[in-house]
Amino acid sequence: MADAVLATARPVISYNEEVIKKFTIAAMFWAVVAFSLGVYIATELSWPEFNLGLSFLNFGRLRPVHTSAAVFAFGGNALFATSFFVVQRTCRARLAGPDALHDFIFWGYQFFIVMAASSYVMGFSRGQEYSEPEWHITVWLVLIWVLYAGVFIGTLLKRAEPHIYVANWFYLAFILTVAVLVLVNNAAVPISPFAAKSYVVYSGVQNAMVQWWYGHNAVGFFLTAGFLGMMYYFVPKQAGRPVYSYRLSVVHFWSLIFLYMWAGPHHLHYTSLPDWTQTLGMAFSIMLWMPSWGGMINGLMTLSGAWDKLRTDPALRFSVTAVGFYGMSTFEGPMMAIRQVNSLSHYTDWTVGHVHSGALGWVAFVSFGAIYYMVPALWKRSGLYSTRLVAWHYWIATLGIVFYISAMWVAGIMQGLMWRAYDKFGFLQYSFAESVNAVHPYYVIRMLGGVMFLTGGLIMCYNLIRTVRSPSTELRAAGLPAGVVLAGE
Amino acid sequence: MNVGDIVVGVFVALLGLVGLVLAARALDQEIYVFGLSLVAFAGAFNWGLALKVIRRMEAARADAALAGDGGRG
Repeated sequence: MADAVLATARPVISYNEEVIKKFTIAAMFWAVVAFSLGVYIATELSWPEFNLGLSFLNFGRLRPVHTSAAVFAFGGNALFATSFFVVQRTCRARLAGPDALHDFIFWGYQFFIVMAASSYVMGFSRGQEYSEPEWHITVWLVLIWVLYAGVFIGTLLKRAEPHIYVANWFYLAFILTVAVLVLVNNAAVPISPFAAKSYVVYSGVQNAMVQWWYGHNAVGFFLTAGFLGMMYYFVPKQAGRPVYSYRLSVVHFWSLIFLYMWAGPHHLHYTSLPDWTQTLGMAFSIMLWMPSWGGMINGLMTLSGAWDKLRTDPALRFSVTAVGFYGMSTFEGPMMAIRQVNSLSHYTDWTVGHVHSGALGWVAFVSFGAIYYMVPALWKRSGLYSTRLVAWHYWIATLGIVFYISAMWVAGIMQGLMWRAYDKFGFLQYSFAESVNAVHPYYVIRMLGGVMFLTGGLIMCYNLIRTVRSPSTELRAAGLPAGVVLAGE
Repeated sequence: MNVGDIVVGVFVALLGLVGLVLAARALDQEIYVFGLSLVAFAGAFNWGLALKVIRRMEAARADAALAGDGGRG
């Protein structure tokens, strides 16, 4: 009887979960690829002989493969998966468009990743950070992205719920802004429609300005706004609590997207960019403290009354630790944007440490938390195969991050201090080679931190495969209310 | 087969043709590899799409046959 009432009140909607499953599997596959490549190039930095004298194993070629695999392949697939998961459930609507289109978006995005990676390995690159693919690969990405935006916005338009949940706002900002960023930063003229080489339309410092407007907003909208969408859906779900303050989440959204747009010039301190532009970037970066910490507080306070769940649910631990890392790296970022601090930190490994505290601690951890939540729901399993393995993953990965970022802090500050040290005659006290030699032990520690993070990722893959395949996680359907489990809610 | 499948299938086939032209007139290795990969992608995608549609049609036919004999098998 109760089931009949439930079915009348809230009809079960058939969501397209097949495409979410594909994106989830792809996210984990690319995670392992990205972490492995990271470990390999960290090994090359410690012992350069590991490039084996082969051009395609050179650090310069593999580094963009690693960053693209981490950001666009692992992070991108996790964003596709969770955005499709969240938008269908919070709108109570199946994805807009035919299933074949969703499949094309999935396979088309994987094609983009493979083409970009093979292009870097072959030595083709625009040489602009996080925007390395040549024009033809970017055109392909734009095609996929427009279709993705169409499906996401179409689903919002056909929603059965009157309200658009805040997580979707963040996902929408991520989708639209990334489209604008890619289009503007990739404005280039190919030498021929049948040649990969192209020339960017901006020149000199204007090109640098546009590049870092793109680069910083890629961090702000791809690696922050999208993953905040994840946080605003999965943390309340895992904690079993509503968002601490919905009003704060709306303030967080508008202030974040307004302020991030202006912060890019802090990447160009002490360059030929006009001083006032650098100061503008620095000022807006400092202002970003407020919305970032507002969001962090909102995420953490959502656990009010449910903190005990951290003891029993290690997947929730990932999400909450991610929010902690978000707070830490969004404190460190504005601090490094201050011109005087930047004079010490810029071009050193401190920047690398900062980026990885955000990428590993925030982006990867919040994705792990979401994937641990989604997999049993998508494959209709009673739960994860082993929460003990999740705990092992959590501690190994956390320790790996600590190794990584503390080694990079020490190495970076040491480099900065060595490069600016003068002797009593006014000469530089150290040669550049001496500073390279001094950081070697920290490079080895960084590599070990990467190995630990990779080990955690492999444990996660094993646990998820067992979750899907093991008889111990099969649903006992008789005891479950109809519709509820099907909806994955 | 629904309209969505046809539209997506034709669109991907056209992309495959673009790949063929790119590979045929490529001035460098990168465009050559990209063009050929695009052809392979389009072929593989449409092959998968066709298999999916055939499976769906067979399942619908089996359902209809089951309904036709009153579900007695």
